[in-house]
Amino acid sequence: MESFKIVIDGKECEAFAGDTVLEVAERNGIVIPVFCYHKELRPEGACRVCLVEVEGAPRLVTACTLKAMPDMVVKTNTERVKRARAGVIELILNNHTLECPICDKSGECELQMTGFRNGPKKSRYREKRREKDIVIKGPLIEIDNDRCILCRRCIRMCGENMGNRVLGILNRGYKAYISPFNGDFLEGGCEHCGSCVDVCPVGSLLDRAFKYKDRPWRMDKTWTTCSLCGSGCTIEVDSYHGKVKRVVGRIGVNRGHNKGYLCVRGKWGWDIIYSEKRLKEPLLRQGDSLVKVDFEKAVEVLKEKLEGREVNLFLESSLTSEELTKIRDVFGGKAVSDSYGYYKLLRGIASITGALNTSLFSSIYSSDVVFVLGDFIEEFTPVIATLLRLAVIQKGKRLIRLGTFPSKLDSVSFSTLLVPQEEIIDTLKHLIVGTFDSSYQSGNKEIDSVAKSLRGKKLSFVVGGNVPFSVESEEIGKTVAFLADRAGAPLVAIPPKANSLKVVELFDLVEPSNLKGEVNVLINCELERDFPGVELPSADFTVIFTPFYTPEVSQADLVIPIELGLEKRGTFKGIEGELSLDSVLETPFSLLEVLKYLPSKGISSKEKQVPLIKEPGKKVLHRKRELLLTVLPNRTGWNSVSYYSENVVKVSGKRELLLNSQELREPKLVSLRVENKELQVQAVPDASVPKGHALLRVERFTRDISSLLRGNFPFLSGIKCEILEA
Amino acid sequence: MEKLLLRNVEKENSHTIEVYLKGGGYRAFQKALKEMSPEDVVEEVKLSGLRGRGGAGFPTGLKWEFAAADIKEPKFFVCNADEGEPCTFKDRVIIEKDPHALIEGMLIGAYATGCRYGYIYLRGEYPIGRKILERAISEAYQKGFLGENILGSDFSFDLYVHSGAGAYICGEETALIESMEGKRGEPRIKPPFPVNAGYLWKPTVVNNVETLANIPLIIERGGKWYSQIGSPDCPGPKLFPVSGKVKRPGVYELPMGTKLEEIIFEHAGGIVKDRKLKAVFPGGASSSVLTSEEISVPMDFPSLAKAGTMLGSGAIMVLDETDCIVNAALRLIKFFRHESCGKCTPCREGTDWLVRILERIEGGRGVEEDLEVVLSVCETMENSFCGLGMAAHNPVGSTVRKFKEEYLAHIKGGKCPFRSS
Repeated sequence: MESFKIVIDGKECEAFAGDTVLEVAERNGIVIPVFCYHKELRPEGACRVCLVEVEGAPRLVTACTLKAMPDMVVKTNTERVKRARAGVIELILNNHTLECPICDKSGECELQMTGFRNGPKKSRYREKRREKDIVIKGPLIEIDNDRCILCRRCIRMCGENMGNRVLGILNRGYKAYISPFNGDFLEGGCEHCGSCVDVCPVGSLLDRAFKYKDRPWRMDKTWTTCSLCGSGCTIEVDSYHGKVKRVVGRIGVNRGHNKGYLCVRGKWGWDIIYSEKRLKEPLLRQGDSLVKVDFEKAVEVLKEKLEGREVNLFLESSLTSEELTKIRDVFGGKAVSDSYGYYKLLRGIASITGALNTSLFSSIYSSDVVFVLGDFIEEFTPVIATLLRLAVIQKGKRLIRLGTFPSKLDSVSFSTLLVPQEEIIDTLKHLIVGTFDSSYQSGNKEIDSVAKSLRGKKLSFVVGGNVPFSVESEEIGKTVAFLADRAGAPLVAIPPKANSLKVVELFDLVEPSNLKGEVNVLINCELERDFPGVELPSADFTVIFTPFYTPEVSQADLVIPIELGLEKRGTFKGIEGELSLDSVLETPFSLLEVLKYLPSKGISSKEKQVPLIKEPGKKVLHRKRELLLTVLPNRTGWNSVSYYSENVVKVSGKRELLLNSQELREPKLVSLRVENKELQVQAVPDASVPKGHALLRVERFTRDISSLLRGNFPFLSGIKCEILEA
Repeated sequence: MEKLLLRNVEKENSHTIEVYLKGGGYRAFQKALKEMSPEDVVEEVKLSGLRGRGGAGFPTGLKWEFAAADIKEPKFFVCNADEGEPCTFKDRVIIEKDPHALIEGMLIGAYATGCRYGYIYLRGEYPIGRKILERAISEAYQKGFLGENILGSDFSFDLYVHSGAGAYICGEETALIESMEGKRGEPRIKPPFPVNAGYLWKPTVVNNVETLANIPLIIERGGKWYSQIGSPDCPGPKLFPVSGKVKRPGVYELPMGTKLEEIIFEHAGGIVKDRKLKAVFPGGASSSVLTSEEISVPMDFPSLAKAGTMLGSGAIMVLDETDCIVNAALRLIKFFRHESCGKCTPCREGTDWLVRILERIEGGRGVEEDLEVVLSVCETMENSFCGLGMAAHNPVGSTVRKFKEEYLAHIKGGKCPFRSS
């Protein structure tokens, strides 16, 4: 892009078309104070603090809204500018409450800092302070309007960047205040991503879990990677004396690929560390009961039981790469994992590309059109959905989505193709031809118009959400990879769990029925949650490595406590390459520490080979009168947080079966039947569910859901079912 | 002098299309449509020198030229009928008594700029106006002046009335557009200007009612004729709503550049009970005050700007010797505090602070330093986001400067000298 020069405070600065003066100044180390502007948000020009003098302009201008023009001469520190700035800050401070000693923001408050640097040094306000005693409390977020300076960052963040439009302004003028729709966060549709709290420059939007808990300046700040889903977000963990106080994203400062955006799990799920269900000592079975034993004893028993025996390994995929390497070394390379469906998807992709891998997520930024395949990306990996949305509204990418269910992403997508689940592969095949042949007619206008918008463009592909859990995941993988391969485009397969990619790389993942060992080893998993529909194989001995008292503990012979993601150091193999974990927390137990005492099996690593076929996949789903069931763990229910986090439980969803409103007229209790298994569940009509599909939203995978899904592992989507009268 | 803008208002049933047609109505539109190209119309309006009557005085022809040059489709033509300032009631006369002149003006403007849809954004407090406008629009549809392929031409135009909900800020053109889109009425960042990105981010012309009422005259009689009326650098007839302590308050049509003195003493009949004139707000509630020594100023955009005030909507508010200037300023700034949208700090906080200081002074609890604070708050408010905040402080700042003695009398006397108790 061509650049030009502007002069700010006598310094020649390089500027590009579209830059604002504030951005140019920031790049050149010239500080212009401002409240309403935020790097990640559309400029508003509301606070009027960033006033600057421009040669030739009679009035002072706000730097945040002023576009740089060639040869512009700007002054940011004349007496006139300083007086105007101090005047505006004085207006803000006049009625601002003096709660700094008890305000959570104190110490990192932008009003404190800007007031200190640029404000008036003396108050001239003789009136009584105008109180705005409107406090709106949600389950996790609180708005204290008395501290609000009405910069509207939260409103733009919520409405434009997150696409939720929960927050807005009520009343007018000096009586204006911020409120969620109807004064209720949950009713307003708040997803509790915490972004509004993150961008608030003052202490108006508060994290209720952190309120009155600690002072920002004395906490240890550790950058680490969230282990709660495949997004692999970089987060800042603030702790004091080894105790976590809060997690913050620091939008605009965060250097991770998530840019500081978080979801409810990452922002508020940290309290699982302090869950009452946390396991603190090893337990050993003696007769009918489990008794506490010390570490030495546990390791001794473990060594003895493993000696010369084959192991049934159950792996959850948010372990670090270091742990996984050691696990393979000790227990062998054969495992059942919750990444099995993702492995199938990657295997499909690898049959075209030759590599069991994904492109980096950032590769979408160098394309013009992003083709997204999958439903419920915002539930499985919420931050990935946010980043896709931002790619459209901030970087001007075109988003095209193919799926079955409507999504929040559709509000920013250029076009959305919604087809019945069994037609996904056929639709992709039409696109494979149509994208490269302008004379091709699929017989469906929508498909043809999507093919036209893909034609001749620089493309990138993103596959995620429920696709790894779809009955057709491998075939979809082949088909979409074939399309991407023909277009010469990167293909990003979003992993469902933090370290799914490493699990796929290191282990031979097998069907649970293929496990014929004598000792069951479960690491970091919960059977019903991670392996719904799988029964524990009968074995002589069962050992569980787990951070919590999980339901399987009662079936175990030996239970060994391990640490959680926030307590670890190590790395993940994520969608943006290697992601590192760091921690200042100390735990008395460590998985790696225990594994150190176990003998190595000495398995050498070798690259997995997938035969190249270079053919699109085949349709697997055929149905007659059955419905296709998708079991969807809610955003709050996808992970251990929904079981053990008191914060997240406050905003959790509920279990319900959504059916097309033409197929179900009114809510009622029904019986959901999969093969010969049945589940009684409350069914609700929902216009967004397409005909012929059933959507079971669950907060937790419980035993009844697990037994409904028996034999379907790893699939959660595209399962044939029937609805019967209860 | 010949009545131009108010030519129809005295007639019986002047709001009906029959009366309007009988008086030569819609002739200008037919002339434009049949004999002139859109470019010709824009040229004619430019030649007339017509400047917007909403307050800012932007040349109408130029605005139309910008809108016509934009290639985005569809374009929208919006009439700003959100007349909400205290003492301003000039547009109401046209809306209620001569609605077809407004519709004809919009039709010509839409034809000149290539707009397909039109909206009249009407002040929420004008329910009678709404009924009259809606009736007039349906009459125009019946006669074929609105709709598709108007009078057999390629030109199509649909017109709707959109009622505001009572916010003064929605008279600001970008806030008006936000409000039309169903959002909270708040000004947008400019640029882009509405002529390029307005309603639904499409090119949108926003003109005041009185501006549009001038258009049929210009097309019918020619821009050259029009440009010779009144002041040479901002010509044309102007409606002056006169209120306050005058014997005959009302709307007066006079050429631009008529002396303020002449309007007050000749047309409005002078001050009630022949008291002494004390002060005049010459351009609505947000203009700076003029003292009795300054009223020989011609009423047009440049002359008033030179006198340190502004023409604004042309609403003249007259105070006599029995009126308390502090109380007058307080009433006006209270209005602006109530109407400030709250988007930007200077307007939201500044208006409130000014109200509180003035309340104290009026109540006899002021101190001398207050006056200095008032002036510096006024200076800060100059940096507001939109015109509301930039002008809201004028009645306060100007009275403090020009009637400082009266403010000091309040402060030193510990009470308002105009109150008996």
